[in-house]
Amino acid sequence: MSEKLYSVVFTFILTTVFVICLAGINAIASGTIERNEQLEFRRSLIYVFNIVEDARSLPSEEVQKLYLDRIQEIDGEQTVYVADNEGKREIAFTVQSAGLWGTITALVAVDESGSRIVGIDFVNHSETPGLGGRIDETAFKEQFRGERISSSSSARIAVVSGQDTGSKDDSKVDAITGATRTSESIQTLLNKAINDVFPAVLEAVN
Amino acid sequence: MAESKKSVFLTNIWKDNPVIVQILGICSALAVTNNLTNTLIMGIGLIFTTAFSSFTISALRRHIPKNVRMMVQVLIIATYVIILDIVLKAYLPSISKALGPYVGLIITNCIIMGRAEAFAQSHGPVLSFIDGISAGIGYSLILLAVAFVRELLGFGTLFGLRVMPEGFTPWVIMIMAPSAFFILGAIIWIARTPIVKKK
Repeated sequence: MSEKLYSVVFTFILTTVFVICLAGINAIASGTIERNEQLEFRRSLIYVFNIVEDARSLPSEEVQKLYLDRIQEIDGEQTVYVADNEGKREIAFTVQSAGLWGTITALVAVDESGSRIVGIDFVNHSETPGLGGRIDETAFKEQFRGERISSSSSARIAVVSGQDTGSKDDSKVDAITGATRTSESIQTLLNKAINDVFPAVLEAVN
Repeated sequence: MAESKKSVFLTNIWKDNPVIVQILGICSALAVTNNLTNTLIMGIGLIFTTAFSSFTISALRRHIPKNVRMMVQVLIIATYVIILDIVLKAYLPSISKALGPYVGLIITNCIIMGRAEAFAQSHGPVLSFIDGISAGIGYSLILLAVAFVRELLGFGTLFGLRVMPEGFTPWVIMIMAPSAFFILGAIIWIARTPIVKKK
């Protein structure tokens, strides 16, 4: 066999063998991965609705039980999640927006009147670990709890440096040091959530 | 075979350390080292990938056609990285989430390709496997040293546990990539002084 043909045949066979191996491993693991992702998503929902104090360390059976007991799922163009908080309805939905490196997918919960953020969690993002990746930290996400939504459509919640008074009524939260672009992206994401997604979601719920 | 397993192992960890002597894998050394947990996982990932890809490349070395050698190496490396990614996603989801895009970047870590070209091409599978493991360990040790300083001063924690007193002000520079340049530079300087002197 000529050398050139051998190279082609060899590469072809080797690639096929590896692809088959990977497909096999993927088939074995995909069920587990899907279950993990669903569990993580439900845990996020419990976190944004603030149903328990520490959703992160909740055992998985508890997560499933709380989810089925407390959260109502409404299918439609976009799946919407509704929870009842002392007679008032709170609505959670996912929003996607551009981050620094890739798309940020966030789960945002808003009270029914659209006046305050109930909670926010980041389901998926590819921000720089240690910088923009710190949006995953509880200290950052907790700032949004109960924060008033401003009437200004360009800064529903302003993510700013050094201007947050700590008050829940000023519609301002602290940005992350060293991650200006990511912080801006979060503000854009929330604008999109309140301006575009929330009205549609509200219609689906009512 | 001239080199013994032990000498291959020790050379990679100290005298010919991939990071401080060969200056390879610097990109990830800067990126993942602001936190010890991520660094450790990255190190384990690299040890796994380098060891198994060196083993496979060495086992196939007599059959790999010379003109597509590098393509085949990348194919083998990529396969192991994808396996690692799937395993992390399935069994260690929180770590997979923390590492995010960096798992995929193991493919481009020049240490793996470097070991494949410099060692696995010309040595037996078992010795190549040991070479891969030790190159990975050599890389991990240096990264852990950098991460130790960065996490301690940048967050006041080690492996996420608070060790600095309450009033400690974190050094923001330590969290950001530039600090790794200084620390890595200092480590290379300190560690190489005795090596260079001996020569």
